[in-house]
Amino acid sequence: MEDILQELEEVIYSGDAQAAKSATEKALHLGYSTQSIVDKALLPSMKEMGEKLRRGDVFIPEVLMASRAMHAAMYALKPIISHYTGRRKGVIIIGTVAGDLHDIGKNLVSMLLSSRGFTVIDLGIDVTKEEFLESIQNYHPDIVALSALLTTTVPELKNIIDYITEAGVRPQVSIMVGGAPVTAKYAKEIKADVYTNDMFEACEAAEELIQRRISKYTLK
Amino acid sequence: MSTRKPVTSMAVNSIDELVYGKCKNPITTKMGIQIGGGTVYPELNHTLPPMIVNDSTIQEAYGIYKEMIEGILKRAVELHQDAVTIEYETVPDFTEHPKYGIESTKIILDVMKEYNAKYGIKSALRATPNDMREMKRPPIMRSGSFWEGMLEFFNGCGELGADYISIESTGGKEINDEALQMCRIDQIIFAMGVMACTDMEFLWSNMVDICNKHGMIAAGDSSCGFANTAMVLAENGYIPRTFAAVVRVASVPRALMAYEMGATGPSKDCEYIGGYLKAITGAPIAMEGRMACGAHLSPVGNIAAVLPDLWSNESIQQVQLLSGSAVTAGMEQLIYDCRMLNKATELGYQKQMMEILQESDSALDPHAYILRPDVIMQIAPEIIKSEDPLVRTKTAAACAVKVLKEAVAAGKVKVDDRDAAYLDIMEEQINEVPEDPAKFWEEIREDLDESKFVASEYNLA
Ligand code: B12
Repeated sequence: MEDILQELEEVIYSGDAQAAKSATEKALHLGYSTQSIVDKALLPSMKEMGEKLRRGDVFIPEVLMASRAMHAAMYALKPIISHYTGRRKGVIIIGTVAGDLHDIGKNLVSMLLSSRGFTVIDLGIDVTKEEFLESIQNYHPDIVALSALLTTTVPELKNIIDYITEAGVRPQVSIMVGGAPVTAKYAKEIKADVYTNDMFEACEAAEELIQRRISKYTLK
Repeated sequence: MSTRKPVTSMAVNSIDELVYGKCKNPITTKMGIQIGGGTVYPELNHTLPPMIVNDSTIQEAYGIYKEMIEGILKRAVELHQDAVTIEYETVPDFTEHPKYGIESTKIILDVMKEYNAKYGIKSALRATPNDMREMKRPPIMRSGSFWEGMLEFFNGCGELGADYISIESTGGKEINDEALQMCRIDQIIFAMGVMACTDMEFLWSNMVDICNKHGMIAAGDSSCGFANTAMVLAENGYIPRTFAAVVRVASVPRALMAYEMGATGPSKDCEYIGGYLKAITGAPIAMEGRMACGAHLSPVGNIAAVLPDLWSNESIQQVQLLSGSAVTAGMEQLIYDCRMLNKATELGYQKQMMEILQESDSALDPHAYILRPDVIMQIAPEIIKSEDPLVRTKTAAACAVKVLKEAVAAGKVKVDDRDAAYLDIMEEQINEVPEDPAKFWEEIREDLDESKFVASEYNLA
């Protein structure tokens, strides 16, 4: 019986979106719940893809293809429950700060987060503090992730954090910052919650932040 | 108005003529430094530490630029260096507000003149404004306030007396970033061979005209957004090293376009295929390698020094090290490297020095391998057999794949199986590329995200 989930994992690894969609439909047909398909096949396979990238066993295109296959599978599940994993796992807003166009690192972070089951809203590049605030108000994210690659745009991280603090929404979100010139020390100074050096740590940190948020709100 | 004069023959025909410090068509700067006339000179690039740039901080920024250039020139004098070159590559705020860029250019030039008067040290300035057009998405390439601002800054640099001007232009980058992440060499050939080359013709026609008006030298355009992005991604293990190396060679026709429009070099430091340009056009080149590791890591630290006329650090921000400012330290490092290269020439060891530099890197990484002078002399003549930018770009990529396959088979370069597999994948994709741009566009457009670029800005119907 579990064979179909195994098959689903395999086609995700090989990045075959069409096959992933069919395998998902087949699994549903066989009576698997959405939850078991997501938890036993989709999320573990993408987690493993991320690990493979970290170990240097695969390249980005393979991860992107797998991610597309996973999204095709999710699409097949969508009519059954919308936003199932996203809401459960957490919503993340990500963007490169105003004045900065470097987005490859940010895109990779974004890809890995969404392949881990987070709902990622990517605001793109050159995103102003006003746009970040507006998106927080619209999407109620759990985490806001900010990327800056130029020494002259790094201070924008502080501006954004100050701006959303003044607007009173800071307690609603956790903030992660990153990009080559950003340091842990600076992140602490500007009162970000997390700084990480690469996308793998960024994912781990996001999982942790969400855990903390859940405990913050549920254990009280 | 400058128009394109396609290159049809090689400036350098024998590998023996391809050396560092010397090129077929040297240039002379305003203070009389001959670049490419036999001596390698340092080119020091410097940038601001973390800070916001606006009207209330700009005086501080000017102060930092002044402090940096003084530190650089002071150290050069102390080390008995008779000539150095400087690059002022702006961060975007300085091109977006041309008055900032122009004022800081003036500050740098004034200090250079002061040091020349006081200590006799000659210096030359490369101004590298930003390509601001991509600040608007999708970018408008040929009009609008960003383009106007760029023109104002180019003219400003000329009026102030900068020696030469460069840029890292971004035409075609709209689709290149994703193509890199998906390892689609066919899309990259379209991005560089069709879109970028079309834009380069427009951009460099303007830049060469401005240079002619002000007696400034047009010094070429770096494929940074294409090939350096690829190299950095490969260095992180995110895309295959073979892929990045092939993208590198495929960037030659794009860079060549600036010369065909009238640029005469020295090419920009991060244009790592400078050796190809030197062989084809005879223009002097700047290169960066091991001394650029403060900016980003690379697998070509030594081999990059095999052919430069200017030897650069890419760029470093002003931070304090134990010895002093990182910028001053950068100057010292470059000066020692240049001394070593030049002394080797003087003692008759230039070829041996080149061999050491080349052999210490080229077997370890495909990116280093394709920078070998013998590989350059093998591929460059193939590229210029056609005048068509698309055909050239396809040829460049195909030649790079072929050369790397042969080198792998002969055990001349270390490439692991995963990387080697991409040589076959690329070969298949390259073979499918049509040589007619219109046909290529028809075929490829369904794969491209057309919301990311304005087709008409690239003459694509
Ligand atoms: C590739 C590159 C470009 C490409 C960018 C393509 C793109 N679509 O992004 C192009 C050519 C377009 C470009 C343009 C410019 N660049 Co640039 N660029 C680089 C380079 C070489 C690599 C950046 C990169 O993509 N790295 C690979 C990715 C995967 O790594 P990453 O971005 O660091 O991301 C990782 C981590 O940092 C982290 N991360 C990233 N974001 C986030 C966010 C969060 C929340 C978290 C947790 C983690 C995280 O995870 C990522 C994956 O592991 C850097 C060098 C460097 N040291 O960074 C220069 C560099 C940043 N650029 C520089 C410059 C000067 C420029 C230009 C001004 C050049 C010019 N002449 O116009 C323009 C500016 C454009 C603008 N307005 O922003 C300078 C900056 C100097 C300074 N003062 O800061 C650098 C340092 C190079 C140098 N020393 O000269 N650049």
